[in-house]
Parts: sequence; structure tokens; C-alpha cells
Amino acid sequence: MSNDFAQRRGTFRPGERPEWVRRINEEGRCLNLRSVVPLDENSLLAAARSNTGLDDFGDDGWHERFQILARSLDEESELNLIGRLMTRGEILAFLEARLRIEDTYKRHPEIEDEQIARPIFIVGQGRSGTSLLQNVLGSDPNQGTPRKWEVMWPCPPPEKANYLDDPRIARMRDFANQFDRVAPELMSMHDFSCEAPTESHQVLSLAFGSSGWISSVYGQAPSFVEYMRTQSMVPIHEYEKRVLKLLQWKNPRERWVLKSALSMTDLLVIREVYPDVAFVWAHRDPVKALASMVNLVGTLHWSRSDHPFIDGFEALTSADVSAWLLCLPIDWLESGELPREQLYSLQFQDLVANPMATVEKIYDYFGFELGESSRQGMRKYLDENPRESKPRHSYPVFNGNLELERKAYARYQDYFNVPNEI
Amino acid sequence: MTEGFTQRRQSFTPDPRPDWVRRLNAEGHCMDIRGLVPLEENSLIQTAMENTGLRDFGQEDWHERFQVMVRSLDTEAELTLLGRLMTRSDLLLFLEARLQIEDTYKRHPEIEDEEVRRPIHVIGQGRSGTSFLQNLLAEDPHNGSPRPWEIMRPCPPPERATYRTDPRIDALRARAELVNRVTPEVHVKHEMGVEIPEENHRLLCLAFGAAGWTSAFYGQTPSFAAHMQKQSMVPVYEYEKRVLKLLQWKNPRRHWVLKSPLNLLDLPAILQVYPDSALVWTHRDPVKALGSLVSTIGTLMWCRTDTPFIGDSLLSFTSADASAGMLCMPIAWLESGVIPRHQLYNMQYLDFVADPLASVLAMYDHFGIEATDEGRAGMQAYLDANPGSGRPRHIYTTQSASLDQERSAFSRYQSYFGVTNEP
Repeated sequence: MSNDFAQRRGTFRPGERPEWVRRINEEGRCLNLRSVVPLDENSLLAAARSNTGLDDFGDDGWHERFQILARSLDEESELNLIGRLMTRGEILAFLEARLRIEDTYKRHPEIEDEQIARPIFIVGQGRSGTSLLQNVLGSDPNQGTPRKWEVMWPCPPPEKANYLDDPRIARMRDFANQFDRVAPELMSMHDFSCEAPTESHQVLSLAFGSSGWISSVYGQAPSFVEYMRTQSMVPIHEYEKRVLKLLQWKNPRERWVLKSALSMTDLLVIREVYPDVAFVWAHRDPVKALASMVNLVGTLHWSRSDHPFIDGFEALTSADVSAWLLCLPIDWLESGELPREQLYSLQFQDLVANPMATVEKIYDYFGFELGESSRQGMRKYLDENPRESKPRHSYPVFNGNLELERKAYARYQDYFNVPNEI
Repeated sequence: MTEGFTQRRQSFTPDPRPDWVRRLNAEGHCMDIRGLVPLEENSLIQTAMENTGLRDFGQEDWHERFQVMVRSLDTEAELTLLGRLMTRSDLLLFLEARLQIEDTYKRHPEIEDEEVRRPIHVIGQGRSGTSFLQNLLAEDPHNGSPRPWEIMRPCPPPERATYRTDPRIDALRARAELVNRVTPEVHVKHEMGVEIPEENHRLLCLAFGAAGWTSAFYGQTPSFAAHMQKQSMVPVYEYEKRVLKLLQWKNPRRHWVLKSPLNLLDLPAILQVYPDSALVWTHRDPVKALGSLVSTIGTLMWCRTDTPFIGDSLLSFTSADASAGMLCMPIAWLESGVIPRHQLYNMQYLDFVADPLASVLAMYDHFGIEATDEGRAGMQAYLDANPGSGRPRHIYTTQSASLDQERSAFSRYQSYFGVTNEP
């Protein structure tokens, strides 16, 4: 198994850094980075308090998670200068969002009464069409998907009238695109812009509770990942719900479309928090999906650290762990813990070949109404965003032991009829 | 008068920045740079204590100055992202040095018994040969000038045997030369390195008492400068002396050579702390010196901010009227006896560059400082290795619309000390 980790990680080849990024990180070596860009708990909390003038961060058990995360990022993630700057900026944004969310709730306790009804949770391995699906479903005017800008800066709660031209969008644009400036190869892999639909994990990050996402994007945090294995995800998804209520308060939507590519382990928790959840699972040849994922995560790591894949990323880089995760829901389906009517399975190839037909089947399966305006919204998105319009993400598919991997995935592929792509 | 300020300051045109500097600062425009790089009292103090494992910063008087200075740097200095990074790093070096100095004194109380005898204070307007004189004097093996590395990391106290090969020199080189990489043009104006003799005002920064130096190097701090105008400089120089004792403890020298144009403002305090100080003043056509200074200070500011010359804390170095005021202050002190005449040796820049060694020997003779064979040889070797030293390499413009006005502002100073006009 450890051999297998090595093989997958070994396939990652970092892109060439822009010259200015290289120079800045080189200069970082003559500074005491940990001191100059602190990631210690107190300095982060003090800065967030002083930036907002607020003091109440809410209480969902976030503090211990935050402490462990901050220590892990500070001591383990081997962030370079630009990496530390980016990560401190994001952690501060999360803390400040929390302070403002609590403050807004205090002034408008009626937000508590908001209902989150029948959210759609898109799940599946990363890189299996989940983003496409989220974009399409989010274009149904009756549905809403959280955008990066409103998750990072949720207060004041966005309003329906100017949701698409909220001044925060323009203000965040350069900041959000920093990902692409630091590692331009990311542009072909994922849309990190401020208007792009974002992962449920970004919302969970406000609760400092999404270890896979945090470790992929903000900095490798092995001991935080380890700690989170022992923690319940319930309060974290409860906090997500709290954020969603606030986001829909002045900008109502019939349904949220949430996407959670890494959280196979959380399906039962999600159902506990959202009992009427509609899961949509995009299946794809896991060999292919994993290869693409390793390249994305490696690039994210490389954008902030000279040492990608330090440790603790088995789920993202190893076929065995990945196969184990993909098989978890099979047991839950068989035991009835995950009712079949709450999960719709689709194949990546079908989605790409005919997205609207796939969407129709999803709506039909869950009994969602598919009116003309919904169709129009989704069609418009598809017309305006043909797949060919995006730069192609090229990555080394596989140079390891294919036979061994196929064997690992056999149960998953067999159960959900997932065809091989290679 | 205000007109005079603006003219000189407007004559400063910054060089284009290296691409990486421009790009990093541009990234700072879309980030919360105050949040990212805190210049905030508690965060700095906590970090310094954690980095050293020490808690005692020494006698309390530094703390208020530090508070005012940090607030001023945070809110007034308009530092760029890179500027904030550099300045936070500098402040931490000062704080950590203090902690380690106090710790060393505690473990070696005998350092208190060290005596700082007859320091040579080189004073004079910037660009009037003060650096050349300091560098030359520092080559006399019986003299010593503090080097940047031992100001950055004074502990453990440097030792004589390894003073030139101390591992801190290499470890701090890249950090000490950072300014040269951010503003490469600074190189021709003011040499920055890890080993070259440093100005004593950088030492005063360990006591957070050097408003002028701070504004030029770390960030423009008008309210800190205003605060310091009301403060006694005596405790600040007392702390400098405390550091000098520690630096000479294992690396003895007969005379410290302490230089800074900024000392001119503080002569009474300096004489109170160092009653036997040997003051050496290099005089040069002040109009000539002034034009060059504006460009040097402007470049140092440009290293960390997009808006050099915000406040007026360095007016005395960039405006003829204020500069003339500063140059005339010691006249009153001489006349009133605050500065005993025999403690001040006046050296004309033109004489000095014409025959540096003879000028130095005449000065030694005036103060009764022994000119040893080793001393002569060391200084002669320096002159041989650096032909043309003191001849300014830096090209600057002295054209000023109000040249006549400036001449008249400086007339009292020039006539009192017999300073001739340069062409």
C-alpha cells in the first residue's frame, strides 16, 4: 500500500513558477517567515477582532479545531512566503466571516427561522464532472449554489436585487484570481474565481472543519487531518446550515445545490443535518479521476509550498484508500442507512454527452419541478460555456500498476456499473 | 519656507522597481496587508518572546516609545506589502536583541563594569564625508565601529578571535543586503552590507528612540517623531552605551567610532552620557550635501512605500531652512558652553578628501589619541585599497530654483565654521 502512495505521488510534476513568485519565495528564505507572517492562534484572532471590532465567534466547537489547524499550518505545512501570505489572508477571512455572521444573527434573530429544504448534494470523486453538474444545476433560477465571494464575505447577507452585481464581486476579483497568478496552470484545472460556485468545503472551512479541502488548498496540515478523523462532522455541517440560512435570508432560493467532492465519509452526517437531502453521485472511471485529482492537489500544494504531498493525503492519492471510500456508501445503501430514493447515480460520460438529459433524469428522480425557466437557465449556461472553451487540463494518466488499481476498484465499478476509460 | 521643502523633495524621482518587487506589492493591493503582516504591539512582543524563550526587555522606558512607534508605522507609514514584511522583520530583530541583551547581562553582571572611554562621535551633515571618515577610522585596529550583524544579533557577545569570521556574518548576509535587492539603486548612494561599519542610530533603534533613522529606513512615522521631540534622548543613549559595553566585553577596543548625521540634534544628551566624547564634525558645502541627501532618503523610503516624503520628520535633511537650523543648533551650544570647544574637532570635507590620513592624524593629535603604527598602517591599507574613497560616486543634481535662498539660509553656518562653497 505504501508503495502505491509513492507511485501516485510520484506522477506529480510541478509546473514552472512565474519568475516573480520564484523570487519572492527566495527572498522569503532570508526572513523568519513564521515570525513575519504569523499563523499563530492569538495573532490571527487579534487581527480578526481588530479588523471587525467584533468579539463573538459563535460556538460550534470551532475553537479547538482552529487551534489545531493553525498550529498544524504553522509548523507542518512548509508554506513558502507567498503561501503563508495567502493562507493567513484566508484564515483571517474565515475568522472575520464568523464574527460578522454571529453579529448579523444577533441583530436579526429571525434568520434562525429560515428553512433549508431538500438541498441537492453533488458527491463523487473529484474530477468526475461534479463541477459541471454544480454549474448547470446552479443555473436553474429556482436553485442557488454558494459562490466564493459570498462564502468568504457573507455579511451583509447578499440581496436578491443585486446578487449578480454586488460590489463585493468586483472587490474580491483580484484576490480570488491570485490562485491563477501564482500557479497559472490552475486555470485549466479548476475555476477559483470569485463568482464561481464553490465547494461545500469552502463553507465548512468557516467552521474549520474540512480537513481534506483545507489540506489541499490552504496548506498541508497532517496533524489537523489526523485530529479531524476523531471528530464528529455534525456540528460542522450544522454550521454550514447556519451560513446557508444567512445567505438565503435576503436572497431566497427553492433549493441549494451543494457540491462536496471529498466527503464520501460524510454522507450519513449530511443526511443527519439535512434529512431530506437529495444526493447526486457522478461516477467516473476512478483510475482516471484519481490521476486528475493528484495533479490538481499537487498543483495546489506547489502553489504555496516547495514540498507537495508531505503526508496525510492517502485519500487523495492512493487507489486503495480511494476505493475504500467509494465503497463506504455501498454498505450504507445495502443496510438502508442511506435510503436509495435519496441517491441518484449518474455516469460522467452520459453527463458530458448530454447534460440536459441527465438533468431531466435527476429532477424526475427526486420529483423536482422542471419548468421552462429552469430549463432555459441551464441551457443558457451550457450554450455559453461549451467544454471546448476551457483550456484542456493535461495530466499524466497513469504509470503505476493498473492491474492492482483495477482490482482495488472492482467492487465500486461493479456495483455502480462504472465503465473503464483506459 | 514650505516652498523650499517641496522643491527639494520634488526633485526626487524613484527608479523603476525590480519586477518581483512590483508584482509582490501589486498582490498586496488585493490583500489585507495590515492583517497579513501585523505591526501591532502585542503580536510583535509575543513573537519576540516566543522566538527567544525570554520575557525581560529591560528597563521600562523603551515601551512607550515602542508603542508610539509601532502605531505610527502601522497607520501612518503607508508601507507596501514588502515594506511591511521588512519592517516587521526589523522590529522583531530589535525586540529579540533586547531580550537577549538583558538575559546576557543577567548571566554576566560583570558586563556592567565595562567602560566606554572617549568614543569618537563623527557628526556632520549626511553626504559630507562622514561615512568615509567612519570607515577609515574603523580600520585602525584600536578603534571599533558597530557592524550591522552585531546590531542585528548582539548575543552571544562577539569575541575578538572570531570577530571577522563569526557565523552570524554569513547567516545574516542575505537579510542585511535585502534593501540592495529591493532598491538596487541604493547601492551607489548608501552602502548597505552585513559587515560595513554602521551608523550608531541603528543601535538607538534597540531602545526605539531613533525617530529620524526610523523614518528613513523602516517607515515614515510623523507622530512618533513628534512624540520623540518631547522626550529626553538621555535614556536612549544610555541604552546605546549598555549595548556597546556588551559588544566590547569579549571584543575590546580603545575607542568606539560612532557616526550619524542625526547625532547633531542630540549633542547635549550625547555629552551627558559620554562626557569625554571626542566630537568630529566634517563640514561641507551644505547645498551640495543637501541635494544628495534628498535622493538617498527618498530611495530608502521608496524601498518600502509608494509615497516617500509623506510627513515632515526628515525635513532637517531635505529642506535648506530646516537643515540650516539643525547645523546652527551646535553654534548656540558652543557659545553657551554646553559643548566645550576642545571637545569638538572641525574638519573641512575638502581638506579631508585631499589628504585623509593627515586629517585623521591631526584630529588624533587634537584629542590626544595615540596614533599607533598599526593604526596608521590599517588606515593606509584602507586608502590604498579604496582609491578615490570619499569622492562621491553618486551623481546628483544640485540645481535648485532657489539656490540663492538656500545659500542665505546656510550663511550663518558656513561663516561660523568657515565652510566654503563648492562649484
